[in-house]
Amino acid sequence: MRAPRGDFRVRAADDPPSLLVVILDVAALAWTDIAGDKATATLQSVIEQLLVFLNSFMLLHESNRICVILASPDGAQLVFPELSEPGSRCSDIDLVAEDNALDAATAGSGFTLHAEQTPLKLRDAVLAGVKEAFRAQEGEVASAPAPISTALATALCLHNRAKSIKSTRSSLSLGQGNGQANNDSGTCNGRILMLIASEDAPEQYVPVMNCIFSAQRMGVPLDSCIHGDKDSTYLQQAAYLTNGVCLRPNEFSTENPNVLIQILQTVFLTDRLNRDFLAMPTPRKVDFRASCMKTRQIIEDGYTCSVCLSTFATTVAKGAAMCPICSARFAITSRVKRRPPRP
Amino acid sequence: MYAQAARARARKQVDVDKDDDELKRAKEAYAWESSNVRSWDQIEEDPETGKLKSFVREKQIARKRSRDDGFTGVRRGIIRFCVLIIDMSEHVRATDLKPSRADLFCESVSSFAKEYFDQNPISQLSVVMTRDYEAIKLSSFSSNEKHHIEAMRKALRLGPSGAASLQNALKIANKNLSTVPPYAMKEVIVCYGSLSTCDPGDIHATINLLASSKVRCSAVGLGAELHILRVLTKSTNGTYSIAMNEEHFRDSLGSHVIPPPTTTKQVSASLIRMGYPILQRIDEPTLYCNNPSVRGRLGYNCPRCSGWLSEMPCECTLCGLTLVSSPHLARSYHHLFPVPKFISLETSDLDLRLQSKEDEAKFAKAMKLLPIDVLRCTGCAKLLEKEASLRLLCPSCVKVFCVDCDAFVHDSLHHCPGCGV
Repeated sequence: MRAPRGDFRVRAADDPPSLLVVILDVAALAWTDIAGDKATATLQSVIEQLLVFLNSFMLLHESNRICVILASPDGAQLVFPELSEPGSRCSDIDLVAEDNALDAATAGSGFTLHAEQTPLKLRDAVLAGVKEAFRAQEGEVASAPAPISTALATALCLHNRAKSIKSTRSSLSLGQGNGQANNDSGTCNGRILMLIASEDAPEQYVPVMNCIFSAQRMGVPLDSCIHGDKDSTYLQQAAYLTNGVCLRPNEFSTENPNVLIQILQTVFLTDRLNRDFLAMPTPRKVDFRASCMKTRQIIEDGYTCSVCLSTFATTVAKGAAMCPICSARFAITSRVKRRPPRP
Repeated sequence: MYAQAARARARKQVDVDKDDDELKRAKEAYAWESSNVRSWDQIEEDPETGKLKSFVREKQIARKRSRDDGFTGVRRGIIRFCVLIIDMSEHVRATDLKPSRADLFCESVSSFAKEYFDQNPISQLSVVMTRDYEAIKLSSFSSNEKHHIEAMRKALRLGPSGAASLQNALKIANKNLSTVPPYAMKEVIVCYGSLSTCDPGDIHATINLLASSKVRCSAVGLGAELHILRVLTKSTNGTYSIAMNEEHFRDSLGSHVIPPPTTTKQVSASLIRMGYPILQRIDEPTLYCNNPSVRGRLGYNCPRCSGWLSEMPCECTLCGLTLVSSPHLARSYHHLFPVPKFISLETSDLDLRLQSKEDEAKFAKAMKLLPIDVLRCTGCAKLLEKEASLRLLCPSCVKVFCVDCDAFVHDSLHHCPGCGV
């Protein structure tokens, strides 16, 4: 971290502002699995700590911006900044101004804080959103785990919008000096933090991987903090491929949920540029194993179809005449040893 | 009698049509002039917001249409072994393309290599250069992009000289490709700057040889079309394009990043034995590791022989098993499970596509959305007004998206933010 200067307004020229999209898992089933009957209390405590973290993130730079997405079994919902649904309500709310406010919120322009962005509003919006999400899940008997791919895709769309606004703004050189604008357009200084309680769902594999590759291409680190008992392979891979951090804090438990704030502040507060100077937690291992497309079991070695690249366990692949996924007929080839290329 | 008259009339009709066409063409002068005539007339300013109104929408429609033209549902050669042939003869010293043809070659091949390995992670590349009447292999097949970029730098250091020899280069490429396994797509891409070739023998025999060993040859030329390259690309089912300027050259080369369509005759399908190792920290002293000092002592453990390796994808140096990580394979799954094309939220389009029975509920949902003036994009929460912007609908989840999100979802994300619940 940079040493604080005499003036306390950190200028935009020193550090680029960042956009942080937080994905909070509010699947009732997953939280019940973790905390039993104390699920609501635990989630409440997690949210309180998250709000403290978000406020300190806002203090780091005057143009830092936050979006909060709740991932529930019904899908992803953007709860902050608050937006009214144009179809359902009467149109006396100034939608265009609201849209511009979101632009300012996502692109991190040098303007002063909007009224919507005050900490109180943030708190209200998040709590109301969580309450709503829980009410929606009440009726269902066995609710599914939250689909993180949907929330992740929405978050990446928001980042994409922020990026495009930034690049148009720099091409018009609006609001900022020319050199500064050029600096900004190249690097999209955004990241995504996921607070996840649900376990990996096998049917989410392809969508989540697609999201990860997209984030990798955009240079958006995917950080994740897992509250469950099991490591998440998807989130580990996400963090590894996008230079993010994936953490499953051992200290976090139902009896002692207040340790989360320390982890959030020390690990996830710094942005991508400052992480190079700090000793970030490194993964012990990253599970890159494939899963068999037929039996869904995790395999360490197996067979891959050369046409569609689907993976199969050895038991499935033995004697198969055609690919079960893409139905390409396999040629019967003699085992010709490939000559290694001469150096 | 009647038939004759009808035929005559038809001929007359055709003549008239042709005359009209010619007249129109004469009026419009050249094609490149017609598109830019008085473009400021088409712009209309919205009095409230000050944004340009119809123009934006037209532009959005045009962009959407240009993207929709690509075809889907084709089998592609996903595992590719590709030889790049670079012409480094005296001719590429010319500076008609800035900074010079040779520099343009090197710069665009380097960026091509990056893109190629991003899109085709388990494919391999090799670079061959031709100068001084001979051909030299600069890099052999590998999946490491740094390897090839270094090779291109070497080519630039050597500099252009002498004449190019297409036959020698093709022969080296063919020899390289002879060791490639049968399930892989064999390809040659020629970047050619000269207008001649200096060959030791019959080049047509070499072309026939390439065609019989099912190598797909494509070429990107500079200056003018060469007959021999046309023959080469035609007989091996490749593509041939002549670059008009620097940008067009990059685009033409970049079009080869996407895996080409194939048939069973060209590439046989088979199951490949592969290992999918876990990335682990190496704690105990190990018997063998091909590069012990990398990445904070993290390594991949071969599942068959327990050797440690530092990079993926590769072949295990001990037992020869092909090792990949599952993200490498997953990179091309979006070809397998593509996102359905979004349709525009207009009455005419909706009738066309949502007509089967199970779609009735969706259709009703879409009809409900139709009269609403202002909708919000599901992805980026942008406001979409009825007149000002194009509104698109995902046919499987019936949610509204803006044009930017449509482009982002189909080009980069490959997952609809509304679906997947």
